Amino acid sequence: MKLIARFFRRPNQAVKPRFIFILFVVAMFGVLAICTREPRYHGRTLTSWLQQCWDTPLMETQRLAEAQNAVRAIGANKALPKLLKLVEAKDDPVSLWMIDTGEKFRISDEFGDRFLRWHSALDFQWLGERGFEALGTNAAPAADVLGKLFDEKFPDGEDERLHPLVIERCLESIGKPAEPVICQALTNSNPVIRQWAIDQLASVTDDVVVYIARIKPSLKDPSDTVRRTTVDAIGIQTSAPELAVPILVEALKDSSVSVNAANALANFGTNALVAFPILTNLVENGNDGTAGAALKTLIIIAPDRAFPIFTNCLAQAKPWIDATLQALTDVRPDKVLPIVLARLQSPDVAMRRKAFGLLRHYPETSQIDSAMQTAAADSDSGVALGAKGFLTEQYETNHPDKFLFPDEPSYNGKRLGEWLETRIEGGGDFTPAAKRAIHQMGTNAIPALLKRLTYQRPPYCFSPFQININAATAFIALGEQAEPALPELWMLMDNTNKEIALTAMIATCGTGSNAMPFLIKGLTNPFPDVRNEAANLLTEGIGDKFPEQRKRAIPFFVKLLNDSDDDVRLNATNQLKEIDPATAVKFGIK
Amino acid sequence: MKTKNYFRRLGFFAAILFCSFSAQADPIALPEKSVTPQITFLICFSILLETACILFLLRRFRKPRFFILWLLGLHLITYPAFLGFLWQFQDMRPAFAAALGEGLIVIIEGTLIYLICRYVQMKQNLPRASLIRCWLISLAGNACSLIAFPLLTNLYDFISRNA
Repeated sequence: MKLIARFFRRPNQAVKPRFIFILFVVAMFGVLAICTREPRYHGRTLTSWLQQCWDTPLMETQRLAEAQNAVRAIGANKALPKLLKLVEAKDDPVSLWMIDTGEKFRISDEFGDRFLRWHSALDFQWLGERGFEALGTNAAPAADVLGKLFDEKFPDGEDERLHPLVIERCLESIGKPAEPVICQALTNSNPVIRQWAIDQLASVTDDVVVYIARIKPSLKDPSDTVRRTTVDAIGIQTSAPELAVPILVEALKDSSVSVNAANALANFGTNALVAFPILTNLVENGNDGTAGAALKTLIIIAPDRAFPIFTNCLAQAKPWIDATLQALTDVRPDKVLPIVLARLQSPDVAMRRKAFGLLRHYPETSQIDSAMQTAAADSDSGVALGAKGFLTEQYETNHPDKFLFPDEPSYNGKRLGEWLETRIEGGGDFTPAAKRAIHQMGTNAIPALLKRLTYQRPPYCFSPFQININAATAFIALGEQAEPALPELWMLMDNTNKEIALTAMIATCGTGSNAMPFLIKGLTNPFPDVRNEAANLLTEGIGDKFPEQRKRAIPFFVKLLNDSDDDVRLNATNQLKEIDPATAVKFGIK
Repeated sequence: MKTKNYFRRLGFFAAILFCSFSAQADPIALPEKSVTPQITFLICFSILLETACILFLLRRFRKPRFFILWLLGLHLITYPAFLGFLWQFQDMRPAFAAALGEGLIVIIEGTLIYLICRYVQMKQNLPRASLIRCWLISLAGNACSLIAFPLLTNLYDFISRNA
């Protein structure tokens, strides 16, 4: 500081620093000009188009296509240098500190919801990747540079582990022209990259023989995971069984990959019969994982020959038998059914659950039906509920919804039930025609709507939500015409079925101020879902239109601040703050 | 009739400015600690530090009365401008964007200091500061506050932890 002060006391000696400072200003503008210079299309920078590619959900095809077309229109020659810069981006401590501090002070984030949207190196890398995705094979000139990036050391940081993934995705987008680079990656020092290369090579190698020859050396890789990936990759080359099966049989001898090899052989069906003796041997002598996989493969490639081996293992109660049981159910369901039914009676809950899982894939017969009814009374709630659901679905199939309410009123040749299904496209409100029909039916529709609102599907009284809620929305559409139903709806709100209580309350919302006592009553309902919905409707729904009547709800809102349900408490806190800030402050809500 | 249209337009802009769509949101009250005191502390201290530094370096040059108020008022322009630059450069690496933004602010602030010292009436026998000197002083002031910012952050954290 003393030096600077001395410098400013002697103005005439400041010539050199002045030049330095002029240089600084010029450099500043130079840097600004260079940094903001970017290829553009329709006045927007390449980065902003890439950002659009990144931000746009896949469903918004038009917006996504617009951004991708813009990147293509900029062209590979102009775009690639910038894209490579983005992919090569690395974090620096100052930027990381700024990102961290910005998030802490809530002025920046990575989504663009706050004032600033800082990008970490990984964000830039993914932006670059989007560019490669848009350019596709046109980005081929960058393949070698991307390959060289693979040779860099990737530190263990969470983000840095993703950097190879970005480069991989870029090369995948380039496709066939990246073939030499992917071949080179087979010998990369990073096992994750070697694994990727094994998989990716399949999509750029046209000939299966060449592909197997290329990846075969990886079966001797020092890394177990790489060897497993190689076995899996060879295992799906079912068009070349003469090449793949011997390799897989050989791989059965490697204890680290024998499970993968045994599983992979199942893909070759009878072409893998040559492996039957060695697989049988593995069932006898292999460890649990290998023995299970071997038996599963035996069942798939030769079910009848393998069945005695299976029954033998079942008798020995091998712990891995469940997986093979599933395989046998797929190929010989009739043979397995007695075993499944017997296991459904087992005292072991886990065994009963697995047996139930298998049983529900069987076609409907009286035997399955009776087993399901037994399961519906199971002491395990998971099995019992699953069986009840299965039987309810069956009932629904045998009794279609349209025949459930035969005495409903009609309008213009369509029954009430049909009008209730007539919605605006996208599952929204009733169509104007449906609304008109409901109004025309008026009070005549009330008995039928009440039946629908309280309908529970036999045999286990499950509430069919769609039928119940359709009736509630029809009541809302009726508006004040629904008033005669209010006494009945008042009683239904005390129903012990949560769905009925909830839909009865919602059904009153079309009746204007008449709905307010129902919503206030809802705040004291025994079901948390009803209390929550009542709070929501009083704040933002109908309650907003009748602020004077809503004041009567404030003491109930205050009580909900101590509700036993966390969600209700949280909701009541927010809603009270909204409808009566003064009371909210009084109760310590800021 | 013209007046009527004028008011209609005003009404339209007012409706855009004060529309209450955000009030339709469904907020969930999360127990978040307020960051306003910390941000206020950091900004105020950084600006004060920068002002003190500039005052010190300009003490032998001609300057208007209440120069400290001029300098503080200056930040009503330069601070939003700095945020604007950051917003403009947010597609760059954060460190680079901040450096570039600070650089531009140094130039703007230096120019404004020069203009204040030159055109505001004052009765002093001291030499006038040149434009380049003002830029250099602004650079020193901004560097000072920039360096102090992380230190002040740590200081605030330390105080709030031990208070």
